[in-house]
Amino acid sequence: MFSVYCSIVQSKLSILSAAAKYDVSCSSSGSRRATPEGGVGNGAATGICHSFTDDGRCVSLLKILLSNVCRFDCAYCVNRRSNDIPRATFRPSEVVDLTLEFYRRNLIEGLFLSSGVFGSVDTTMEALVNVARTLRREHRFGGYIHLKAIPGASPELVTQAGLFADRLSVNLEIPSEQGLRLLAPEKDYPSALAPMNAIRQGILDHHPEASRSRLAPRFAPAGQSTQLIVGASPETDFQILGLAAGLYGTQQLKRVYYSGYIPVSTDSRLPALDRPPLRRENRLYQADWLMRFYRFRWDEIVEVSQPNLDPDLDPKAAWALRHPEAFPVDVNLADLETLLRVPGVGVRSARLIVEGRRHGTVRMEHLKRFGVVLKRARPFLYDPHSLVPSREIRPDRIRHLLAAPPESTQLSLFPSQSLLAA
Amino acid sequence: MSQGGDPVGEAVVFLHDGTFEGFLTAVFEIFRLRLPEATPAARSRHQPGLLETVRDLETDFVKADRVRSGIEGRSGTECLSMLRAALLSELPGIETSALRWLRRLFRGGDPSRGRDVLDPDTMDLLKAAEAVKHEAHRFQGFVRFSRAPDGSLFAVLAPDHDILGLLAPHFRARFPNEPWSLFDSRRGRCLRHGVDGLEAFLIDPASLPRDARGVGAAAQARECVVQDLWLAYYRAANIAERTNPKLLARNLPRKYWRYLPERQGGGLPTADAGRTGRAELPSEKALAPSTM
Repeated sequence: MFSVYCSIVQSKLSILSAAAKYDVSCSSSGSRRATPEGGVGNGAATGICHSFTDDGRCVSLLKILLSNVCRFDCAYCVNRRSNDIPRATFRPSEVVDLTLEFYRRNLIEGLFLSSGVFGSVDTTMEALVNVARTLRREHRFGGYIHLKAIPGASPELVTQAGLFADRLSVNLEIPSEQGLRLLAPEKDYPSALAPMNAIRQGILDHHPEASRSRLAPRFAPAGQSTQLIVGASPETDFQILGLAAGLYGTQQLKRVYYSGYIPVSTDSRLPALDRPPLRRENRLYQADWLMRFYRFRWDEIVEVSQPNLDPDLDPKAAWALRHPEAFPVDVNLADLETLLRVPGVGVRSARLIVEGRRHGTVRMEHLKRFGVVLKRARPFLYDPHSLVPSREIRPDRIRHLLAAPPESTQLSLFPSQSLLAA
Repeated sequence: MSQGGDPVGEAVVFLHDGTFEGFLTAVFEIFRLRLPEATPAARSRHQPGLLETVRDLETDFVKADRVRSGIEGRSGTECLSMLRAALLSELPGIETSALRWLRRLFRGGDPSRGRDVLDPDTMDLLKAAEAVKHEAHRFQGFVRFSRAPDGSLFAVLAPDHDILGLLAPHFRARFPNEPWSLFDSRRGRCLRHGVDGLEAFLIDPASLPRDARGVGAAAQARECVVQDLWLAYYRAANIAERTNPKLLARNLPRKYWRYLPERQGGGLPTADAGRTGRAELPSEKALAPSTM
């Protein structure tokens, strides 16, 4: 009997893991939840990767759907009603058992639970909340829990979810309302923004500084995130980054994920792609990094006149080439913000430069030890030993030093975000 | 090796037991005797040279503590923890860099000198400390627990750096109510967490068998079930259209694959390959505490 039970769970697990894999969020960072008294598991603020799949993506959480039965028919989604695929639904106890067994062997940081919409939106949302409640209350589980808020779910259920989850997310999926209406006629932006607002409000209400007691329950301590599908609809990078900047700003999201559209349908409303737009996705992540860690404004990264990122240049190098007047930079005088804008200088090396010059003059040999990529950085730095007096930056002459090889089939960099606090 | 006097200028090596306190004791002696050419070295890693005098030191916690508080007073706890982590790297030459860094620190003057990143020794220590913390962070994810015959959790690892002591607080916070053990098979060390708290002991790495023999049949069956479930999950989570071996190699270097059942057998794992790659189990004898 036991083996039959296991093989049923195993086939459900295969189906409901494959059904969840197009949600690219994998972060387990941002929560310092302590191990409950008599329980098991805690949150590691930096996030921890436990494995990586052949696509190079991090496996940090048990990322599954509770069910891939869905009454919606969104053209871009593998689980759409009209798609002829095997369907499965977990019992809540199966999800709880899998989470705890995997967690105890240190295979995962916790659970990422989403679902197709079976029954009504609220019954689905309630089922997700119940799993999280069982883990927290009955099993005193302190590991990471990421729950999806289903678009259209009632604010009361979303608020309950926030009391059990470390992170909540609502996926906007298509980066414009028009595009979403076309590809997912049963969805609209208000139905996604309502739960997003409820989460933001919950976080504000339960913030330690706002609440009267240190012991007040915490609400989604790792914040909320969302996902945008790139390349299934005609939005430009200008529109996508503008939307992302708004989500970071007004909605106070912790992360926006960009998912290069992988053809899962031959629907005529969708573009025919022979491979996913991975390079574009990579450039968007780099742009996102510039907003979050390099103090760039989104409208510095892309401009209306040139609304898409240059596929051959990372967006920071592209900015530098568009702004020769900002260089050369003197590493012994420039402030941190300026140093962060030099191609080849990262957050770590910029901080080392600032620390180093308190003790003396920072020279080229120091920069190398600090991890500055001199090949990229040198044209943008003031060098007192240079024989040419005051050099002018000639973008056309240095572009080749910064550009990626014309067209590679592989994505060269996908951020493994769990090392960085999201 | 001679046990003579200490003529100024002759290379003297102070051998210590490899602990942080042992290193600090050696530093204390080197400073006390004002030996410009002396270096500290861990006994187990020392390669005897031709023209050197060797002194065997016993760890003296009073002396070590005087040096420790001297460092803390001059440069703060951050520099002290950098030094401690850097020494765990066991990288060749790290003790020499550390000694030069300490000499400069104790020469007086600017108290922020310990953080002078323009100084190559500071950068050596900083980079070594980062490497140690990075490896510890990776193993927080790649350590895989199995159930031992007595029901406790255990994992075997062979890290480049001596990180067992850095992993312990992480797993103690996470699994406070379960007995678990971590074995460092490279250094023959074990940390065991139980009802009485944490204990460390030495273990003969050869006594760690390579397969799962000795585990009770029921426990073994359960381990297999969980592992098969994990493999099913892992295989289904991959997106074939995005296959990217270069990115995989950067995020998950091959040296870690041996710990991960899902990465056995080269490319995509099969159920059988996963089984042979199951974590190594220590025998009952190996689990018994020996001397520290």
